[in-house]
Formats: sequence, structure tokens, C-alpha cells
Amino acid sequence: MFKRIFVPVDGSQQAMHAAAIGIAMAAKDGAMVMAFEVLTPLPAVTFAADSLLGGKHGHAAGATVRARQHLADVATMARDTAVPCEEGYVFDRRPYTAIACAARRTGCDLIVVGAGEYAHGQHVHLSHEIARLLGSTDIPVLVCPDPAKGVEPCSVAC
Amino acid sequence: MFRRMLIPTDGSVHSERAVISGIGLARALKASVLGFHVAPPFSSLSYLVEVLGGQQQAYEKEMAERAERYLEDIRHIADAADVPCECEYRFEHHPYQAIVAAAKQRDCDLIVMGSRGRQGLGRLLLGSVTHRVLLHTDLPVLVFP
Repeated sequence: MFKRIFVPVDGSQQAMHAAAIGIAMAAKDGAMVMAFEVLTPLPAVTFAADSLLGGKHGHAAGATVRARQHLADVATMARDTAVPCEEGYVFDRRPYTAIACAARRTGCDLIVVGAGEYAHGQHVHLSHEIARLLGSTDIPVLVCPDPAKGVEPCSVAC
Repeated sequence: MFRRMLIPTDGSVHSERAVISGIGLARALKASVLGFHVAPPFSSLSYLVEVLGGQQQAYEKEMAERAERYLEDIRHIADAADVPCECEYRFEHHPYQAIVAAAKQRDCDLIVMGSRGRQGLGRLLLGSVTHRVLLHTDLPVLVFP
């Protein structure tokens, strides 16, 4: 069915839960996974200041180190189930666009993502970024809710 | 992994694509499917029930026949793919509520939907029913474009 499964992560528990589901699907279906993280760049002026200050402790360097750790965690999970895994990250202000573009560029045929990913630290059931991703990609998306969270009651029409 | 998938259909092209792809995934994962359709109930004021009684029966009969038609398509596709399949339809004002409730009641562990359906203009890019299912379910939802 699916041959390349794109797994965007943001360092949250929910993202790791979704990644585990994506890896389990890949293991069952003989697919590979592509772990990916979108990092938020600093605004231009701050970024310049960051660069001027330089060094390995700047925003970009810190974000990259954290992303590599998140991606390594996914790669370890994949390795434990003998699923081939590639990793990548990018700096972009609009995660949904970066995810859609990277998934298409890497030839992935499924995106597996946590419903509340990329909510900028807010705890939401479905983040704006994921809702936008669903409306802007032509690749199937498996949206995995956070198992630790409840959902809004169904009795009220929204 | 996933063992039982709920696949709702409204008879639109988008949901038909989701049905075909969902059954393909069920085959790959050796899962079963529950084909599902939600029909809008006949709405009338209570004091008009006697007048509208006959019309309500005709309406519900037509909706039931339509539901059976849509679900029969799912049965055919599932049979061809050798995927175990059950089907069900319900009358409900809000399709997303029926979908979320049925998935829970019938022990489904995945919902497979098209990104747009007949009511897709509600959210422009993402169908309103799909969007509401995503907001109200605690199950994974596979959305096909």
C-alpha cells in the first residue's frame, strides 16, 4: 500500500506517539519512514543579532541540536522494528507548507502526524498547522490524536 | 496495528476514492472494514406529523434505498479485495456525531475519510464533516485528498 511514510515531529509526546504508529504501519507494510522536523527561524533582525553573537549557542544551533535529538529518537524506534529511516529538517515559518513540500519532494505517499503538532506550545486537539496541511496537500494524511487528551463533547454542534 | 476501520461514504467522488484506498489499506494490514452512511432525518414540526406522516415514510424509504446503494458499492469493492466487510447506515442531523459514535460503538480503531464531501464548502479546503470528526474523535483519522 504505502511505500514511503513521512513522519513530521516537533519534539512533543504526541509527535512521538504518531511516529510510533507510522513506524508500525511501515513495519507491517514493508515501507520506509522519513522523519522530519520544521524549525521556526527567528525574525530577521533577531536572527541577524543571533548570527552576530554567533557561536554554537545561537538560536539556530540550539534548534538544530534539539531537532537532531528528536529525529534520532524516531530513527531508534524505526531501527528497533527493522524499518529503514531517513531524517531531515528545515527552517520555515509555515510548518504546514514545509511539511507538504518536503513530503512531495521526498516521494512520500503518506504523512503520519499528531493532531496537535506545531501548535506553538499550546495544547489543542487539532492545531491550525495540521488543519492547513490537510487542505493543502495531495498526499493522504493520518492524523493521530493525543491518547492522553480528551476530546470536546459531541453533543454540541460546532 | 489497525484491525477495524470505519469508512463513511456520502456517495461523492471524494468519499469513493477514500473507500477504494481505505479498503486497499485494510487488505494490506489484514483488517476488516465497516462501511457507514449517514442520512439526514426527516425534519418536521410535531403538530404537522399527521399531515407529513406519509411523506416522512416515503422520504425515509428513499434515503434507506440510497444508503443501501452506497453501501453496496463498498461491499463489492471489499469482496473483490477479499476484505471482511460490514455495513450500516443511520439517520442523524450531524454526520460527524454519527461517525464518531459509530466508530466507538462498533470498536473501530481507525476512521478513513475523504478530505471533502458533499458539504465541503463549509471549510473551503477541508470538508466540514471531516474537520468536525477530527475535532471530536479520539481515534486516528486517515484523510484522503
